[in-house]
Amino acid sequence: MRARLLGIGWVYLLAISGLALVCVTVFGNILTSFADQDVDGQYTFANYVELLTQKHLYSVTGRTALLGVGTVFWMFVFAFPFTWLLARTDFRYRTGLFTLLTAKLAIPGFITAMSYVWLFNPTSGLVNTLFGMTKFTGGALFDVYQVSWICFLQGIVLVPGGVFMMLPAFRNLDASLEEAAWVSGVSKYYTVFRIVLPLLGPSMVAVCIFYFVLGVEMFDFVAIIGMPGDVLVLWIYDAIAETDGPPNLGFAGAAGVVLFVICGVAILFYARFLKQARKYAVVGGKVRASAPQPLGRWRWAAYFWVGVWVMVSIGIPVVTIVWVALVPYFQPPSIAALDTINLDSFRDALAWIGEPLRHTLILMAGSIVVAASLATSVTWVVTRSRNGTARWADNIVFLAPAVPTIVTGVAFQFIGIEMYHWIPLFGTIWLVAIAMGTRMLAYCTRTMNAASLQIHFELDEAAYVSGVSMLETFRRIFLPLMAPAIFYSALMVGMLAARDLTLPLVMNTGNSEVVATLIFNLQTNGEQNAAAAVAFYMIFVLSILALVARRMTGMQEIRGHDVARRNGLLSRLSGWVAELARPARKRRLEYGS
Amino acid sequence: MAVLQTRRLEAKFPLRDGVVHALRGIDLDIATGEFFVLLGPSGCGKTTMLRSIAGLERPTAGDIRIDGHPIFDAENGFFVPPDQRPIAMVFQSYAIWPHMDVFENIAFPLRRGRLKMDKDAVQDRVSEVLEMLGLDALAARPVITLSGGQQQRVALARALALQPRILLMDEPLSNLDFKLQVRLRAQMRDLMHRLNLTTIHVTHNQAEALETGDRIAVMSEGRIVQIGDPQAVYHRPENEFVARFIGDMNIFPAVYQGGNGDTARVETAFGQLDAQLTSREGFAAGATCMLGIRPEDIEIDGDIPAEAANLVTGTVASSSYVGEGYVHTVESCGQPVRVRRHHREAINRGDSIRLHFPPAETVVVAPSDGLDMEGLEGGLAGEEAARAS
Ligand SMILES: Nc1ncnc2c1ncn2[C@@H]1O[C@H](COP(=O)(O)OP(=O)(O)OP(=O)(O)O)[C@@H](O)[C@H]1O
Ligand SMILES: [Mg+2]
Repeated sequence: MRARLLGIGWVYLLAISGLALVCVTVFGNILTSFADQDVDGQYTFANYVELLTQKHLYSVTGRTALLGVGTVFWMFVFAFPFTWLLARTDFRYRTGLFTLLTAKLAIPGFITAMSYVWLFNPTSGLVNTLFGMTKFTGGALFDVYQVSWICFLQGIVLVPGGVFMMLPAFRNLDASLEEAAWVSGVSKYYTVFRIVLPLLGPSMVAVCIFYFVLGVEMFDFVAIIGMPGDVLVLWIYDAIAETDGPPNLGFAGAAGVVLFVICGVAILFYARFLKQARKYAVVGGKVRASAPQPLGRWRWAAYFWVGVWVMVSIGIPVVTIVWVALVPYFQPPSIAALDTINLDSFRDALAWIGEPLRHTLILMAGSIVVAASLATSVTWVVTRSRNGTARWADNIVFLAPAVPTIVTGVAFQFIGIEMYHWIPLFGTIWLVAIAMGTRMLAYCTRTMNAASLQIHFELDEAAYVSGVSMLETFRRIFLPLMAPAIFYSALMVGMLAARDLTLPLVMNTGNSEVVATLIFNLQTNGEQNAAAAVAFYMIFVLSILALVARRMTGMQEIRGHDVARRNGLLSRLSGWVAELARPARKRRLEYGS
Repeated sequence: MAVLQTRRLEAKFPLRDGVVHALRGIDLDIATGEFFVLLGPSGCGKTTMLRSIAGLERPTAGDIRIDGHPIFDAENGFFVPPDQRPIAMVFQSYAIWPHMDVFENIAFPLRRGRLKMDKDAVQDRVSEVLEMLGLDALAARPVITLSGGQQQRVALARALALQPRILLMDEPLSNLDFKLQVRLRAQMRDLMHRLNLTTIHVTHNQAEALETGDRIAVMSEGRIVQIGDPQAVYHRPENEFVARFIGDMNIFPAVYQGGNGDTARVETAFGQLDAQLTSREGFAAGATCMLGIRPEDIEIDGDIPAEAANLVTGTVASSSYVGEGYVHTVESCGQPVRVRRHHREAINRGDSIRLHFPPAETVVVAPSDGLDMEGLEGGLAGEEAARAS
């Protein structure tokens, strides 16, 4: 009996470790904010005093919130119509749009930021130089160093995530709700306004709030573009990366707590709207999707809007990076420049990339192991154990995204130092991997909870009543059925870990450089060509990962069978790669509900 | 000795506002080899009862024994987990593991479960049940390619392979089409009898219960309201709930006047009538009770024996065709009386007609105002529901 309890106890142990890590980020952050800068092991209010006496505290906090709102605005302006196109219309290139959204996941935010700085910075931006209009020649044509630019760029980068988050709500809207209005004589357009939009409302608001949090905590753009006036993330970063003197973790912690509170409040609102949205969800039973609406003339508007987004978010960054990597020194396109094109930067980059690549691979593998194993266990406890305390686990995991990435970094850095005596992880890539895994835990758990709820509980119970133990059932029934979701999550974690700049940058003490920080450092040191070449390699590898991951959840994200029709080189490529994972995916599709 | 014994079993589910009292003191004794049916309307606690026996649910009070050994006792918190109980279960959804083929679905519990059988023994056992249920040809098939009926048989095979002391089945037929359901009922009962396997079968379909059960327990709102063989449950209902729930029965309010032993005389709107007293408890003179008679038991003019009592006269108000015959509604003393007759009989609307309630087929039961009668009117509710689904 005791051996058996210990059996499933392993799963509980892993789940508790996961929750503990999430709590560590919060408490670590709070602890950091009280740490005395000068005396080791002493705690004080000095950091808060310092923070509150900062001249610009209120304007900085205000600007931070503004950044969040602006980001959400641009995200929504693209993501909402795109979701609509994918879910409810006969838009011809739905698969293509879906593939492009997926591919965009492979272009890290900081690389997008970098390309825009190269094009539009007022002193040497390529576009400005091309037209001979820089700061030095009587006013720049474009000046990327504006809050509005950062909002816009963060917004367009977050569009794919926004679409993928809104799609389920669109898909779960039962067509009979609209049809009931139509057959009662209400016009189609009026139905949209009175039935469809109000029903989608809560989920849309929830998504917006979630992206507000991301917009506020996102560091990629602020790091690269810098800031005309500060925001909180920058304060935190500046305190850690003090150029004169040791890092001021205490001040970073205090600023982090403020950021955490802002995000925490937002997440609580997020939870409220999500709950509201669930009330509208059809209880049980099969949901029938609405018939695709013909776009008619509106298709031109659709092409235009999709075109704008593809250009600004994929076209411009990729073309810029390729151009900068091809020319020997940083210069705008010209006939003369065309003559100098060569592949030297790509070759040279290989010399730079060795050690950082090794670290990146460790980071990916480490965070996959941490996030996937902990999230699987947490999911089992939350959705399957029928244990009274499971709700606590659920709440903790739900609140986890409120801890900003940069704050996670600060907390783990602090704990790494405190624990160095016992476990010397501080300064190594392994600590970064654990922090990254913890950060990803919440996202993984969300995906896996959803997948787990699709698996009928009686499948577990059938094993129990046949005399199979809980651990054995976990291994032989739960894990195999969850395999597609776990595999998908692992791929996503790997990809997000590879493209993340924030944690490696915040936690870098010189021995844990990854590809992302390599690019960042090359760019900061003015070696744009090398940075561009490395960035190109990165995007190339990540797009393959992204497309494989997406192929796994497959086109079921979009509605209908017609979209299974594959077109485009990228999607064919990904199809070929994903062939490996096919049997698993098929199972899930057919047995999903 | 009873294979399964439950005493004062209670189950409550906490809700945000209050609790659901799913079981309210269930006492059961089930004998070896018995095909026992739990029958009741939706939400009466059948599944909860079955899951409590399986160990998937933990009752809040009472105890359960198998072969005299306690497997659950609320008093001292004793609880044997499901994988340690000598049971097997067939789920309503079948719960076939989609990532395993047919053979593996049956073999996995044998290999990894309580029995921990070795490879050869597993092979033999699986072949045996596959053959028994005519599944041999499907052994290597991935289960997602099976039809509903085949899945049901795989679920049954998986349970039978375990050779449990008690087989639990939760509405195993309700996902199948009506014709198949009817065919499988008899097959299932015969199979369990042949194996001498103690079976508890949960259903809300009364035709299924009457056809398969050695004994039937009728449940309502977490209680067992009658327990007995199919004939007793059908012909000698002990209360109004059972009378209304099983089959179709005319029910009229009545006042108890007197009687001796099994017979009773009651005063009704039609006058004084004689009937069987099937109610468990007796009545005092002047007490309110219910008189019941099935439409097919009512005799009309031609068939009525010469010196019969219990006669009622009325006018045919309407007739509806139901396939096997007609159900006529006869208006008598302001009360509608349903009468079921063969379709060849010419009975027309407006005809004046004499009805005979044979005392042996007429029952007197206690009114059950406390119980939920909703949706039970009109009889055959289960059958209709089964047809519809
Ligand atoms: N996990 C649970 N939480 C809360 N209430 C429950 C739970 N399980 C069952 N109930 C309630 O207990 C009562 C009995 O449910 P049960 O599933 O046993 O009914 P049933 O007789 O099997 O009905 P059906 O024929 O519809 O399957 C119902 O009121 C139900 O709502
Ligand atoms: Mg049930």
